[in-house]
Amino acid sequence: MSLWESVIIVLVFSIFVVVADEYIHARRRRKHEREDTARRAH
Amino acid sequence: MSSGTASEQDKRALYWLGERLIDHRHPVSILVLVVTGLFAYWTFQLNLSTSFGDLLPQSHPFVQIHNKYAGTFGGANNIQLMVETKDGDIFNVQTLARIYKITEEMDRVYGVNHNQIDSIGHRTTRYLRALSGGMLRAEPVMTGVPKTADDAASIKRIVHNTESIYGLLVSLDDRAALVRANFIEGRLDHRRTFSEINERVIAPFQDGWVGALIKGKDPLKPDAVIPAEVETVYRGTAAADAGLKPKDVIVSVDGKPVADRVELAAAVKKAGPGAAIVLGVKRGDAVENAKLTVPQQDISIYVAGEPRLYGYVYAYANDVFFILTVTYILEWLLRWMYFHDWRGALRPTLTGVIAAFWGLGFVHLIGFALDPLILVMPFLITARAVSHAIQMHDRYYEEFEHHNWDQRKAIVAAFAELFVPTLSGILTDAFGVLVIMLVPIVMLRKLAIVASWWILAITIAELLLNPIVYYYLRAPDPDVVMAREKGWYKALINRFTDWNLSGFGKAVTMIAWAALAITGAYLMRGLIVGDPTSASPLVWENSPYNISHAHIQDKFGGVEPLIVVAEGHDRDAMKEPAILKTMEKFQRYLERDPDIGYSFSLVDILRGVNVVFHELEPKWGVVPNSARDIAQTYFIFFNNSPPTETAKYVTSDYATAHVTFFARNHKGDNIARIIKRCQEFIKDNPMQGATFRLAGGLIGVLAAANEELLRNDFLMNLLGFGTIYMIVLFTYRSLAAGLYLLGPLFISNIVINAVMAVWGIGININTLPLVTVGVGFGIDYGLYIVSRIIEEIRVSGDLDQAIREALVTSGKAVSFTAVCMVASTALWGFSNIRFDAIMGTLLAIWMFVSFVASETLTPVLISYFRPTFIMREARHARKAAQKPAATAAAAS
Repeated sequence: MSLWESVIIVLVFSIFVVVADEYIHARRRRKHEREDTARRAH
Repeated sequence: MSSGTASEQDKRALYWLGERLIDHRHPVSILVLVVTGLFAYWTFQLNLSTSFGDLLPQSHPFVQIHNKYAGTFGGANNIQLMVETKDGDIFNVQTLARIYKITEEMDRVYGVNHNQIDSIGHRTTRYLRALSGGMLRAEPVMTGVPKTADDAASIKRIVHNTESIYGLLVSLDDRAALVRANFIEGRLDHRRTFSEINERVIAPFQDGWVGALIKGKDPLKPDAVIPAEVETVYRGTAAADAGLKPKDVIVSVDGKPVADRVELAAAVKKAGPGAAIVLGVKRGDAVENAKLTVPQQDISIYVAGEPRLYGYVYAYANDVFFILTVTYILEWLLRWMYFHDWRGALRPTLTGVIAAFWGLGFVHLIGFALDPLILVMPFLITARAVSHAIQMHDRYYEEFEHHNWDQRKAIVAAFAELFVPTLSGILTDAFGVLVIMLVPIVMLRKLAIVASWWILAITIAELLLNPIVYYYLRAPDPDVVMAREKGWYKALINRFTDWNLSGFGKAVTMIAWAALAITGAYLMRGLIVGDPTSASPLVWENSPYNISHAHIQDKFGGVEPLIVVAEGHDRDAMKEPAILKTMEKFQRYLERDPDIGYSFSLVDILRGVNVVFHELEPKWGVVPNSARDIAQTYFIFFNNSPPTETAKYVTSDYATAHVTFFARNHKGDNIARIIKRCQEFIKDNPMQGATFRLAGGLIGVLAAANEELLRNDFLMNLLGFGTIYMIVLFTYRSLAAGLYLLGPLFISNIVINAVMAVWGIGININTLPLVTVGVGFGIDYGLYIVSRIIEEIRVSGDLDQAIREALVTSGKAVSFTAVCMVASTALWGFSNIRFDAIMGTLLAIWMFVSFVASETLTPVLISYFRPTFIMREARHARKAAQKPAATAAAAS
């Protein structure tokens, strides 16, 4: 494995983690918001 | 909350500094990024290289003798190439032709000293030929490629009758021949030497051999491409069966063009034995196809020696990128799982990358290069940088919750509260490493400067840039922060802390560490200075290098030179019989050592010439009795040779010569014994007119390095611990604090030395810096925990409660950083470079042991002995408690 292959892999992996994490947290936030809205509606 | 060690005034200053950094975030971050960009630019200019001279203690008298005579009598950078037949002996036309051509190719490898090649195929390897009329003449054993069986038989006779060749350059069973080449130290290029030997010296004659001599490069036109023209086709070979003829030019293999002998050999080697290939053969203007079955190898070529060894190390050096990638991914996953947030994964990476650019750029800036054998070191420093960042990030989240989700307050509080332990940790690491400079070996001194700078550079990212980065990043969700306080990891830490601080837990901890220290002290007696095995510890025992090395040692008894110089006080000293007889006596004396294979000196030539001069009567195999006879004997042998050839035996004024002993291995204890025997002999046998000088060759310079390491090892450890003690003394303003922190570290040191002794790892110039770094890095865990205990006791006033709180907060972060560090260093265990693998594993063990000691032994010792430097801080809590009470009383 060369230096540049290594750099590309770690960059792609990092971006993947950031995007996946944001997606997970965004889903969780939306879920909480829905639950809050539902609770308030009750 | 107040800082664990800083006074109220200091604390206020740190909070102020944190605020100002955020206020001036734009200019500060631009400045840091510009400088980091500059260092990044220099980083990408960096090369891997090893300067052999840098590995030697230049002030040592052995090395000075080595430097003085390496250019003439041979240095430490020898390559030994052994050609061994699978069936029969080497004395047949086909094999001898290849030995001749291999020698010719070896003479063209970059950096080789053309006058210091020993091989029956080299012009400098001569024998004495008796001519008609009583004439004697020293002629090369081979003046060209042998053409007939008679030529081969004649070479066999010469070899068997020449004492300086038989057993030395041709094995006693006639099945192997040795080509020994010395390389000029200033022109060593390990990568180039490695590939040139593989492609040009080995492949065309071993696995790329088809039974025909193919024309090689023209030494006078090294850049010209010489087509693969057939010179000679041997009977009964694959080439003969394929119908190849002299003057044919092979232009392709299986349709793929081949430009020269090297490309042809590579293509044949790739096809493998038994494969049917089609050669495109140009005869005149026409190109015809010739079908050829690649033959089985009939000879094996083994190559050993320091330049070859480093060649393998460089070939394996790209492992570092694979390990780097796997480590990065693993660390990101671990941090993401711990912090439940990508910021927790990213922030420590920024610290690591910025520090790495500053460190590597500095290496280039000051004109150093990276040695592949110390690649573990930058890795470890980066892991350390990441560890500090994890501590900071964990504290930031803790303060974020504590300050009611106010991001700015949390950033400043985390910065101010962790400033002292972080800075102390960095300083202990940096100054701890700096003591390596004590060893007078240039490489270690360079390493000490670079590592120290690199560690100090962590402050830029961790203390200067850190609050700004947090400010730029969006604050984490409160859910994420609180998630850290839940789950199995937190529960495990809580449960273990409760057990450890119970009466039973404390007793078990003390007994276990005492037992470990005693066992370690017992086992570490086996630790040796130098290499503990005959195989090279740099690569694995079953690596191609060590297999080759062992084969050559088996066949020739010993190939690692120890050069003892007989330095004459005046010209013609080497014509004095008494001096020469002492040299001979020295040879016979040291040959009795079980680890000396054989020896060689000018005396061997004299004796051989004297025998031939006296009609091959063995009784004349002695040193002549008069200086006149000796001079005459020299004349007979050397009169046809240019001074550049004779210089490898004796200086041109006949003042100085050498005795070279070939050792079977370079084990540290064997080297020490051999050198001791040499010194005893020299003391007991003083010479008039000359003095023996120790010592050149690989064994000589290793002896020098081992002596320096032995002399400085204890001092380095003492100063390493002393430096750390002084920093701890200033950090905690207490004489006792150092004892509580260094005690566990001392036991870790014992354990790691014991592991090295049990695993057969010696202290050498490669292991020493890593061991010293381990001492410095182990202290950081303790610093974070002790600082937190002080911080907590100022709040609660209760020691046991403070210890518990410190262990479940900072201790939890410490345990996570330790997991990360151990994981990242342990991954080196997969390296093809045994040295890096072992060092990675050792450092992982070191980090683990010092972490466990900081989490168990240090708090238990503090709990038992209630040290004043901690207990005095409890007064703050009492004063704080008394104040509201007094105010309330006054109000009532």
